[in-house]
Amino acid sequence: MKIFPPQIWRLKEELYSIVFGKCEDCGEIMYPYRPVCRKCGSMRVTKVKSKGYGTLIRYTISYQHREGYEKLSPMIVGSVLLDEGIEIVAPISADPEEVRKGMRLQAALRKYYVDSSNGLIVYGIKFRPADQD
Amino acid sequence: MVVIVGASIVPINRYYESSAEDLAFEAYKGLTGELKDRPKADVVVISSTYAELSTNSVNLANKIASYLGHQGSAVMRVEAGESGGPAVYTAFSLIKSGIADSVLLIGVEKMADQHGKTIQEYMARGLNYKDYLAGVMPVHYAALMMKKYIEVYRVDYDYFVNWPVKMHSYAVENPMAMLKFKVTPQQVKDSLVISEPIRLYDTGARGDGAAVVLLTSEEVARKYSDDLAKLQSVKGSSGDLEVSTSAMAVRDLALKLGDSVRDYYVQVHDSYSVAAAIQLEDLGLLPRGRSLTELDSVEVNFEGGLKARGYPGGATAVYQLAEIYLQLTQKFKGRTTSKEKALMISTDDLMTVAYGAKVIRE
Repeated sequence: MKIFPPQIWRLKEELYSIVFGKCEDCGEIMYPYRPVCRKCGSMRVTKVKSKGYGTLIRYTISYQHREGYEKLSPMIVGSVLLDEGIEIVAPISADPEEVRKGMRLQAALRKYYVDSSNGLIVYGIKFRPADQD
Repeated sequence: MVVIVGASIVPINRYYESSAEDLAFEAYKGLTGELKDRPKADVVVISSTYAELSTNSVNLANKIASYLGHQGSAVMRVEAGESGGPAVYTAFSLIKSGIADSVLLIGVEKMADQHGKTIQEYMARGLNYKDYLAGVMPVHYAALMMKKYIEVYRVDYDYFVNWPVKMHSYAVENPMAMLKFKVTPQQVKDSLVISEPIRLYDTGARGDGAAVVLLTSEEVARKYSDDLAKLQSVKGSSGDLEVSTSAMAVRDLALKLGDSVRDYYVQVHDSYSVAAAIQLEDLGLLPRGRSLTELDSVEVNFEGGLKARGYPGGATAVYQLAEIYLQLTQKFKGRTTSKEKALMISTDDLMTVAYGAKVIRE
């Protein structure tokens, strides 16, 4: 995969935080964010940033990986119920031995990918086990 | 009226000696051998999802049309994920509207020239860009859907084993199938874990392939053949990607298709075992949470499905339409349906787009 810097720059908000859309007219919540409401068609959709905490409701441990992601194998991807009440799919940065349904998670900035042709590194949000209070 | 006058497919396999153009030619040769006259196409419609990536070329529609001697035809490639349904929709619309009298519909995909990891990379480009950059793959979503299905309907992995066992049993009878062997429930349960709970036998078998269907208006149909099938209607829908036991696009498609699908021979797009269950249930063909235990009560995927007939990416819907034509004209060399009507359901890998085509024996 070749990384094009402008594409990553444009995505900085979505990559470095969890942003969902909230329709100001009908209240519909959409993730990922989009500017037009899927329910009522309104364009009064505002961006809302999640606080980045949630609960793991199901997950899969994957033993197949794409080119350039060898170091992530086995990769964990989960359905995370954010504290704001939205379910999203996200990579989970945890040991396969410690991951379990119902565990508390918090968003963390992690390395996604290194483009071997130019050395560019893409960072983004993954979820890790939450710090204990 | 839109009429299917002929169809031909190349068995899905690994064709290291053949290009996309060569495969299209093989299928085309099979078609011309069945027709009374050389096909004239007002439009050549190509369905291929990964053409730019897997063949390192663009303008594939013109290259294939030219290779097949169809200079002068309008040419286009149509794509919306790994479905092929949009190309069927386009071909149908061109004739139904009167814009064209004949459309040569070609599905072609080259999957085997690259390593499996590279194919996974291509497939991941169908996800949103953030997921793609994070290393997420479609099979991860499918695994989460399967887990949700297990939670909601309180079934276990054995429930899903029914699908590959049934598809392989059908494929044994299909000389054009890619995986012509039976599998036992134990073999499925012992197969390689891809992304748990999904195992190798829960996924479609990807390969190279090409299929060709000639569609015409009623006025010119008998110039080509007396074995005709009517393409009655084609509907399409789309939706968001969700981890759910139901797919928004398929649900909406079912509403658009209207009447009960119980009277139809049905083909579904079983990219994963859980995708087959969701489609059968969203269509209302089988009850929710029990579809894969009631497969003997319906006529579905007699060709072996993507699971065992093979999964040629964006060419899949053209294969489905070709096979349905062969079924209804009693030319199919495998398990055949006795029904007079057939319904093709074509989706992308994760069912965010869905197309349905109803075909009736003439």
